[in-house]
Amino acid sequence: MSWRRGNDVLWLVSLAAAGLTLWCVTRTALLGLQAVWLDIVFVLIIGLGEVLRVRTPGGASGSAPMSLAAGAGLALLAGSYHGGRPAPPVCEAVTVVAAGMVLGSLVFALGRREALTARMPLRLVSVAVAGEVFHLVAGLGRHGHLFARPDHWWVVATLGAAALIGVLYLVLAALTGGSARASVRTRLLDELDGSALVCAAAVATASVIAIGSWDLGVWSAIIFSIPMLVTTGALRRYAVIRQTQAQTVRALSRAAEVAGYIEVGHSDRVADLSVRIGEVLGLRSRRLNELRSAALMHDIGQLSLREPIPGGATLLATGPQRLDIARRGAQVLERAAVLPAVARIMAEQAVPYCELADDSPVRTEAGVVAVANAYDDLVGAEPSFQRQAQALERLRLGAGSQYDPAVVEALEQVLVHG
Amino acid sequence: LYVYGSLLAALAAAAVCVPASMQRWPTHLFFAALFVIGQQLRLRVRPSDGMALSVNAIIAAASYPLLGWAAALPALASVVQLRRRVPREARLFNAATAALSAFAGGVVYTVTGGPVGAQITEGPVATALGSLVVAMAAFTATNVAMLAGVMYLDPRSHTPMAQIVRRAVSTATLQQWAFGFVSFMVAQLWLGSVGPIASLLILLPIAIGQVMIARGEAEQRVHEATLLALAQALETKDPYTRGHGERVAAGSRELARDLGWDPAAVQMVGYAGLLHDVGKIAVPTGIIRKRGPLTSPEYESVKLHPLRGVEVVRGIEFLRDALDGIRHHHERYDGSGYPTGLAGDQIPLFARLLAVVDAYDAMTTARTYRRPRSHEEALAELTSGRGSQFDPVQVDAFVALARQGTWPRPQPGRGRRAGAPERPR
Repeated sequence: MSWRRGNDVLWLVSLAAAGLTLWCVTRTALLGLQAVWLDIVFVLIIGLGEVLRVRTPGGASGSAPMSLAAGAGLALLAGSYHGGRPAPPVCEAVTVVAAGMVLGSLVFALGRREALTARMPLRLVSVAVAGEVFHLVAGLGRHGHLFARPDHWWVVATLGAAALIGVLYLVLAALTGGSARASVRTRLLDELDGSALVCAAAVATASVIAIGSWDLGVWSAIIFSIPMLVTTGALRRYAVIRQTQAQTVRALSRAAEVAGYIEVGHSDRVADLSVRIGEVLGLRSRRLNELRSAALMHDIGQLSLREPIPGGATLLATGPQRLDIARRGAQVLERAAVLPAVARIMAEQAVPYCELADDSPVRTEAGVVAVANAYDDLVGAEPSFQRQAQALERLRLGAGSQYDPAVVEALEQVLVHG
Repeated sequence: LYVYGSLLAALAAAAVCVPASMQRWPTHLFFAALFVIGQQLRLRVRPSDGMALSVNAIIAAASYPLLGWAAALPALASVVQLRRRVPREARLFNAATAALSAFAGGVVYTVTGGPVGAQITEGPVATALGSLVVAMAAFTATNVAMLAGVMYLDPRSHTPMAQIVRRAVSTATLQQWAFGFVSFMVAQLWLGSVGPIASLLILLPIAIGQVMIARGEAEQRVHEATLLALAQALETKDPYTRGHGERVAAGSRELARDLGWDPAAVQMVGYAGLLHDVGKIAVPTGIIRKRGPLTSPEYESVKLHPLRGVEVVRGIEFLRDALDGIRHHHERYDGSGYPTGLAGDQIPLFARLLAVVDAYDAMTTARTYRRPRSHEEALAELTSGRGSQFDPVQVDAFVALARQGTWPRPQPGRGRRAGAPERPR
C-alpha cells in the first residue's frame, strides 16, 4: 500500500520490458541468430551476473552490475564488428539479455530463493532503449552495419550510449525504488549516492567490452568482466558488514532490554516510528540510518542507573536525570570512538526543543527521536484510538517548547496516512 | 648471502635483456615506470583481511606481448620504493624476485609461441591466452620458489613450508591471475586497431572496485568499534571490569594462535572473549558492586549471566560460532560449573579456552571484594585447577606462553597480516 507510487512505475517498466522482450525475440526469430557463440558466452556471463546479485551500498537489493555491464556491452556492439565478423543487431542483444536473466532466475528458483527482482526489468529496459537509440542516432540514413572501421566517432558514440544506459538505469531505479514517503528528488539523490559509482563502473566496463570486441572478439567480454566480478565481491562483503553492523546496534539496544531497564519492543517501535517521521521530513537515507541507530539505542544510558525506572518510561524521569541518561548513552559510543553523529543525536534527544542549539547538525534527528520516544511512552505497546489522540494532543501542547513543531506535524501525517 | 645471490642472478638476467631493451627503449622505459608506480599501489581483493596483490605479476603479464622475454630489466625498477619504508635488503630481494620471475615468464611466453608486438592482432586470441597461462605459471613458480627460499633461511621466521606454499597458492594468486588476464588484454587493445584510449577505460571499473573495497574496510572498522562499545556498555555498571573484555579477547586470540587454530577461529574466539561477560548487564547493579560474599540467591542471579549474554548477542548472525563460547565459559572441566554442568570435551572448545584466559585476567585485576594477585600466583592457581577447573592442554599452553615472558602483552596489533608472496617481512 505504502509502496504504491514506486509500484506504479515498476509495473509500467515491467510491462515495457515484457513488450520489448516479446518484440525482440520475435524479430530475432525472423532474422535468425547472427552470432551463436557470442550469444552463448554472453548468456552465460549475464546469467552469472544475475546469480551474483548484490545490495547496492545504498541498501537497494537486486543489483547485478556484472549483468548490466555485459548486457550493455552486447547492445553497444550492435552495428559494429567483433573479431572481424558483423555483430548481432540490438534485437538479438536484448534477446540474449533476457535469456541470461531467465537463466539467472532459474538458478534462484532451483535454490528456492526469490527468483525475480524489481531491478531486472530496469536493466533490460535501459539496455534495450539505449541500444536502439544508439543505433538510430548513429545510423541516421544508413543501413546495415554502421561502422566499417574502429574510428574515433565510433568510440565516442559507444561511450555516449554507455552513459545513456547508466543515466536511464539510475533514473528508473530511483523512480521505482525507495520509500513512497520520500520525494522523487530524495530518492534520486539516494540512488545517486548508493549506486552511481557501481553503475559508472558497469557502463565503463560495457564500453570496454564493446570496443575491445572489435579486435578480441568474444574474449573481450570474458576477460573484461573480471573487474566487475571483483567489484561484485567487494559489494557483497560490504552488504554483509552493513547488515552485521545493524545487528550489533540492535544488540546494544537489546542489552538494555535484557537487563530489564526498558520494556521489550520499545526501542524497535521508537526506531520504526522515527524512520517513518524522518521520511516524511525528507531526510536522506544516510541520515535515516543514523536516525534509526540513535532511536534504537536512545535508552542504553539507563544501564548506568543503579536500578531500573519503573516501566522504563523516560518521561517519568526528571529533566536533569533524562539529560544525564542520554549523555551516558552517548558516552557508550564515544568511548569506543564510533558513530559520532549517532552519539550526538542520542545526547541531544533529551534536550527540550527550545534549548537546542540552532546550529546543531542533528537538530531534526534529535527532535524526531524525542517525539517518537514520548509518543511511544504515552501510547505503549497496544495503541487504541483514544490513547493515540491523547498522546498527540499532549505532544501538540509541547510543540515549540518541548518538541519540534515540524516533527509533531510529521508525526500526525504518519499517523493519518500510515 | 641468499639475497645477494638472487640479486646477482637477476642482474645477469637483466644483462641478457639489455640489447633488446636498447632496441625498443621507449616501451621498456614505460614499463620501468609502470613497475615503479605498481610498487606504490596496494591492489586489494577483499576488504579486511589485509591481503594485497602483487602488482608485479599483473604488470609483467602486460609486458609479455609488448616486450617478449626481455622484461627483466624494467622489472628491476621495482626497487624504487617511495612511500613505505622497507629495509634495503628486502627491497633488493623483492626487485630481484620481480626481475627473475618476469624473465622466467617472458621466456616461457616466447618459447610457447605467444605473439609479440604487431603479430598480436593476427593470430587467434586463444593461442596467446594459452601462452599467457603458462607464462604466469612460470612467474608464480619462480616467485614462490624464491620466497620459500628466503623464508626457509630466515631464522626469525617460524612459518612452516606448507603454509608458505598454501599462502602462495591462495585466492590472492587466483585473483592475481585474473587481473593478469585483464592487463594482458589491455596490452592487446593497446596494440590493436582502436589504440590506447580504449584500454585506459578499464582503469575506471578497477578503481571503483578498489573504492568499494576501501569502503568495506572502513565499515568493518566501524563495526569492530561498535562491538567494543557493546562490550564496554557493561563498564557503566561495573567500573572494575574496565578493559576486561578487551584483555580476554587479546589473550584468547594469542592462546588460540599458539594452539594452532585456524585464523577464522582465532578471530571468532576473540569476539567471544570480548563479549563473554556482556550478560552481566542483566545482573542487578547492587550485586555486581557488592563487597563481601554473595548470598545464595544473589549468586544464582550472577550464574544467569552467560545465558543473558547469549540473549543479547544472539541477533548478530556472524557471531553464531561465538555463542557457545559465551554460553559455557563458566563450565568447569570436572562438570561442576554453570549453566549446564558440562564436563571435559563436552564443553565447547571456545568456552574452555575462554575459561582459562578469563580466570587469569580476573585474578590479576582488582575486584570490589579483593586485591589483584600477582602474575606468578595466578599461574600457580591456574596450574592447580588443571583437570578440575580447566582443560589441561590449554592450561599448559597458556602457562608456557606466559612463562615466555611475552605475557601479558599490551594491546596487540590486529593480528598478523598475510603479505603478498614476494614481500618478506
